[in-house]
Amino acid sequence: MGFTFSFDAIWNNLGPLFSGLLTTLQITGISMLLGLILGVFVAIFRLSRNFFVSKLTAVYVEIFRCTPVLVQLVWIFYCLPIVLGVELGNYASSIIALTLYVGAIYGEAFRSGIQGIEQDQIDAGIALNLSAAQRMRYIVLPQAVRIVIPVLLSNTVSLFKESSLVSTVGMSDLMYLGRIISASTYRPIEILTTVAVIYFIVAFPVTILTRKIEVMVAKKLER
Amino acid sequence: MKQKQDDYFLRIINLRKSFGDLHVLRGINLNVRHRERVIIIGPSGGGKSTLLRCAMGLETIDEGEILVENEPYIICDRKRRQSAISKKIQLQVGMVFQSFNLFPHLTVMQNLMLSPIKVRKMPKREAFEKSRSLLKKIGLEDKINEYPARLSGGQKQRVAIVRALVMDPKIMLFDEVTSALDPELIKEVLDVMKQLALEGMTMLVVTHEMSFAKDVGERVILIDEGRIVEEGEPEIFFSKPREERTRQFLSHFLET
Repeated sequence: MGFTFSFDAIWNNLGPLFSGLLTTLQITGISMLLGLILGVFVAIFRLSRNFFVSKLTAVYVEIFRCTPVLVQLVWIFYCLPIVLGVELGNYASSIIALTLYVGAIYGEAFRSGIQGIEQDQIDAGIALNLSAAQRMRYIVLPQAVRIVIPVLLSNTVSLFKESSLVSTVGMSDLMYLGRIISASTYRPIEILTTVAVIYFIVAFPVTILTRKIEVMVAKKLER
Repeated sequence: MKQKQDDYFLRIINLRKSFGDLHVLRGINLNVRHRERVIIIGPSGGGKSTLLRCAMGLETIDEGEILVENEPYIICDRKRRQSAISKKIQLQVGMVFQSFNLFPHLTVMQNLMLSPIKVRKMPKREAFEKSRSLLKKIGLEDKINEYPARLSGGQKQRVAIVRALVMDPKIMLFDEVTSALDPELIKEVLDVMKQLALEGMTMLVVTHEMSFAKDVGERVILIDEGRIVEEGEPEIFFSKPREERTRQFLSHFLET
């Protein structure tokens, strides 16, 4: 059985795939921003001296780290409306699910960054009479963020790929449109390969950037 | 002549501190007069640094109290099993560390201005001018925009001293500030400290620099195993120590 690769199938559908990419980037971008904010709080709560705050945060982190994102998405899309009695819609559910997922992942990255700051730095802050919140804000977090930028970027690349799961709740992202077009054109190999190439073209430069930033940060934070 | 209690700037009374089973300070009593320069020497692990760290409020204390101008600065609340510190008095205390502890993500100027602006609520312009004039005094005005990584060890330590001075402390604590430096860089740091002494700063200095102790110190104290072994004026302390332990410790320095 012969197979001829049809470039036409790709050219004719680049437009819709591109609009799918925009949706994917939008969902990834919003979840990333919300996740970063959530992540900072997750790290601070996780390191809290208050036993309950710390443990409760740990439970949240572990649940979202150790279960499939697909299931989290389904919980939030189907189950949360039942529990809360509010209809969320697939867009809001997607953003909430991905934010909660990546917030847990970012939170652990921030935590390792915060814990990586030497006690000497904190001592210097105390000796300069900075309050605990000021030390966190001006000494610990800025250095911790620099240390964890490479980790955050690589987490974000994962988020970008995981976001393809929102197609299961009917979001017309890159993956969803790819699947629809594959089915309607009977050209899954061409279309899905193109989808993969598009994911790669976006993600690969970020991983290169990650390595560059890693080197830059190491130089900058040398004492 | 006996000192009146009122004349003392800092009074450390029966200070005790343990880390687990390790008794690091076993009842330290130390009074420091206004403008006095007290040098603390002693073997590693004897409790010198812990004493300074307690006086800065970096460590909690297990027993005793520290007064500044007869006001309670750090007291031990035995019921709650923790020590309480007066933040207002802590503002009068400055400290410089062995490993400089500059903030690597901030420039020299940002290192200096952070605390005056955030803690003292000083206007930016004023904090800048004050920091600049202090940097000029130690010859580092041209390093304003450098990051700490670009400075030599001696320069870092001088910046660290200035960073403490911008806050207008009334007493400065120096914790082995030259121990991490190459020998040729030690002098530039000691010179800044000598200048500070001439200007009348009250100083508590932990050091291994015996010539500095003789030149600048008004009183030398040997601390070992968490206790003050001997104290006295430098001339007598170094030439005619009373205690065998002091003679033994000082002999290490005479040999080298």
